[in-house]
Amino acid sequence: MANAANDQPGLKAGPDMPHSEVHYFNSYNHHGIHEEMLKDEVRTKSYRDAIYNNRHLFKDKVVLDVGCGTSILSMFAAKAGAKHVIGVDMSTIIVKAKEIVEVNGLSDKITLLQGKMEEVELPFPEVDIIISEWMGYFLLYESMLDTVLWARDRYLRKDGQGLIFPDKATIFMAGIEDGDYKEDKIGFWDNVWGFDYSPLKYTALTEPLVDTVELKAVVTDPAAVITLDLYTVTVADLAFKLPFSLPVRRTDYIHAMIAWFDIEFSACHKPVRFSTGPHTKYTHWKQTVFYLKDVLTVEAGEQVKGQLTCKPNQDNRRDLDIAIDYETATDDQGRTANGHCEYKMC
Amino acid sequence: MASIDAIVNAGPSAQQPRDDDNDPAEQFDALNVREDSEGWNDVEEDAEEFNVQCLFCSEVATSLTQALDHMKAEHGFDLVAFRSKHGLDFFGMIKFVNYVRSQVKEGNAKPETENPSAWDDEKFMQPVLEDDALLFSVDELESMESSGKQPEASEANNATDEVSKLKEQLSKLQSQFDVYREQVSETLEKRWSDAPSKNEGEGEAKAKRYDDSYFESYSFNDIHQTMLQDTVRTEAYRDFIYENKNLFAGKTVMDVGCGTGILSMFCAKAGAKQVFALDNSAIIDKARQIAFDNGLDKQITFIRGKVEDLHELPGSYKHVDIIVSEWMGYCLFFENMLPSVFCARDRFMKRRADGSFDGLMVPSHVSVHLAPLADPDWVSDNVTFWSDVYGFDMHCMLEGALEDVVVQHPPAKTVVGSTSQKRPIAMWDLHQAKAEDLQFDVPFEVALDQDIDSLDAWCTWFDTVFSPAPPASAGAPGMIAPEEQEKLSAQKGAVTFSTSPMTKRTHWQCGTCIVDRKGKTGNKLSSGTTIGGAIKFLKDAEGRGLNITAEWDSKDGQEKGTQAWKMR
Repeated sequence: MANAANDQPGLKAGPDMPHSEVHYFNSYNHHGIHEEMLKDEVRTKSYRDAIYNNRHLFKDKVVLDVGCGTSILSMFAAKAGAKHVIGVDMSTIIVKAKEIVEVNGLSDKITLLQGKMEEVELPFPEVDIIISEWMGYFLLYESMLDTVLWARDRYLRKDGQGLIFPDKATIFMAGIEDGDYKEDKIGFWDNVWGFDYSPLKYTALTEPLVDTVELKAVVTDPAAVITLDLYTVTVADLAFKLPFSLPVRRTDYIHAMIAWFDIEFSACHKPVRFSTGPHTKYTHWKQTVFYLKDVLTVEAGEQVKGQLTCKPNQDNRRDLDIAIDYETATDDQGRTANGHCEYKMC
Repeated sequence: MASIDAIVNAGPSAQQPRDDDNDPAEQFDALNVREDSEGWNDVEEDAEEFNVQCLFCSEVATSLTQALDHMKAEHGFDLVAFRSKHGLDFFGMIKFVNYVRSQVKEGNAKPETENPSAWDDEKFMQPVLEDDALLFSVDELESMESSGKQPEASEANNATDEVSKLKEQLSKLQSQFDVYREQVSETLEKRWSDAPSKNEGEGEAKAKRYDDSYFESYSFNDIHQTMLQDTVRTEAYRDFIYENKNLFAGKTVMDVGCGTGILSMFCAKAGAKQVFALDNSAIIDKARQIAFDNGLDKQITFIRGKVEDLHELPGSYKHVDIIVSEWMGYCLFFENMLPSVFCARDRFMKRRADGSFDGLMVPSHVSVHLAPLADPDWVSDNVTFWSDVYGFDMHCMLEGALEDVVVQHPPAKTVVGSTSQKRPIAMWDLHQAKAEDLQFDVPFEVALDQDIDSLDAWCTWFDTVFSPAPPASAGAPGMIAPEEQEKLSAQKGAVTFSTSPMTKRTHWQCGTCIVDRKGKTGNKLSSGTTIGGAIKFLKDAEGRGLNITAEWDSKDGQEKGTQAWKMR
């Protein structure tokens, strides 16, 4: 029985593996995941543009790259004129990263350290700029943001002149019509080769799906739920309960809420932004789909109001407990609906 | 773009819903303003501190009307009339206001107000004053003119008028945001097209490849859904069981690694008297519930644990007649689950007097295939890629990467040759095979059926045969001749499925062993070339992984190699 969760067996990122820290870091040892990230053009080009188009900010600065991976961001920063770049990563990929830095003639500009951010000893007491690609699915799943914030508090210069790339992240939500796919993913369990599999249906409903959503499926305007300002946000802020309100754009059904995030490098001369939403180019983050128990019937001009709750799981901080409350604001008694759905990203 | 953003966001219009291309942080603020029912700040509060600076002097008014009156009285300039005279739109007004302010700032007390070309310049999208209230009031100017009323008059209007006014504003704003959105997407496109990538056109194909691969099944349920929705796999089991009900009626069956219990339920439906379903994963609780929901809980007994730890069957059962299992892994033997099935067989399967098995293994036989691949696109995407990553040389990332077996379902056209009569290179009878038979070393010979620029990889896959025939007598070998497959598959009631690149994709896909050319290119080979060699499958030290080693050379001397790959 093949572990189908895992088409690249080397990644060992299937649900059969315990989601321990060890697992988390191991999954980044393999080159496959780095290949996927590097080939994500939206991601890599945005970082490249933010760094290369702002050489004036990087010139002669000390830069810290948190979770440097293959060191691509460190090399961008070095090429942009940084005095020195320190890349830190827990994963053994750093062995490869050192070779890459050497081959590209940047060894004197870049110091790579393997270990936990909280434990390694930096060759500089403070840094001018922190760069990091810390975002996970749904922004916060398996994200390294805690580590970035720790590095900020410990190493970023205290005079207010320190910069963080990127420095703003916003989570958006919208409602989608997704009848066919919901039938395929959820309704599937009602009749499996002639058998009733409904016990698995309820499990399926609690698992957010990371997938690409077509723009035409989006029924509501998007709403920003939370914006994280990396200069001020704290780890405590990453557990939140916030309202959202989705203006319905067309009369249709809503089967699911989706979430995605936008990232901004606002320190730039010309701010660089990218979005992982359904309206723009593919990124490896795709979108996150939360199926609702009900199917909502909505009419153009109405609002779907709700609340998004998100907090790290008590047992494993890299897992997320998410809840969505929703209600349709309509005068039509037959169409009023409200509910509470709980999800677990693990 | 930032300037438009600031203008649009800072004003009362920010209460309108907006699209995600706008500044996210600002939009979040806008959202808060909108949520007044939830106890958020009411937008009206901003209106209390309304300070409008005159266009021409430093006079500051506390309402728009006051400011307009002041400009009319002191400077002989009627902004409302001016707007309608020139038919200026939202952006036109913003440019005009900033133009005048910049002129006044530079000391020109009488800026041009007749010739629109004076202010028709993108640079005037940049606000001159910080938080310029006049810019926020552009919408209001428009409504004053269309209703022909001053704001004081409109305040006295009834609610219906207010609603229609707001609706009008909404539609205007929406169109303005559409313009803005377009501009944002344009600049985004421009930014990207600055450095066009050679891979540009492949974006979609790549996206699809990602969809098909690693993250596609991500969660607990998804594994099972993927397996259950693998129609090639599930239909083969179902067809064999349902088409051979005579073999199952009244029999005792063991399902090793039952998962969601689908195979156990097939057997129960086919008439099995008792099914013992074993699994060591928590999924078994769901399987039990599912069997109950389907009224099959009496026939199926679920046992959680390892088969190696099971020494006795429940109740008075001593033996089973049939062992059904879906144990196959990538490259057939990855995860090495088959020895557990053998353990169940050796311990519980009914035997004849001579000690040979008197029951049925479902499936009964498996075979491994090998074929040469040429896939230049894949090589450039995955191998050549690393020599120039955004201007950096990362070829060292490849070290080790080509030591891994790549799990993928290659396009059929990349298969450029076959063994004689497309037979497997190794085959097993699961009634007879032992764990040690699963580590093997066999010779092979393939012939190319087309000219190729280079041999890029060896592709392996497996076939699974469900034979209704009773097992051979004692002493039969575990590994059998590959040509047996045709005879077995041709039997009445037999079912065979393949995981080859030429047939429908299964969740196992194929195992591709990339030939590492160490940066060099391979030799051209012509159709008809035969390549002979030997291939070894050995389990790794930990026991679940697989090491594959091959050595080969072509008769014409153009191609020769030896390499090892790991599946881990």
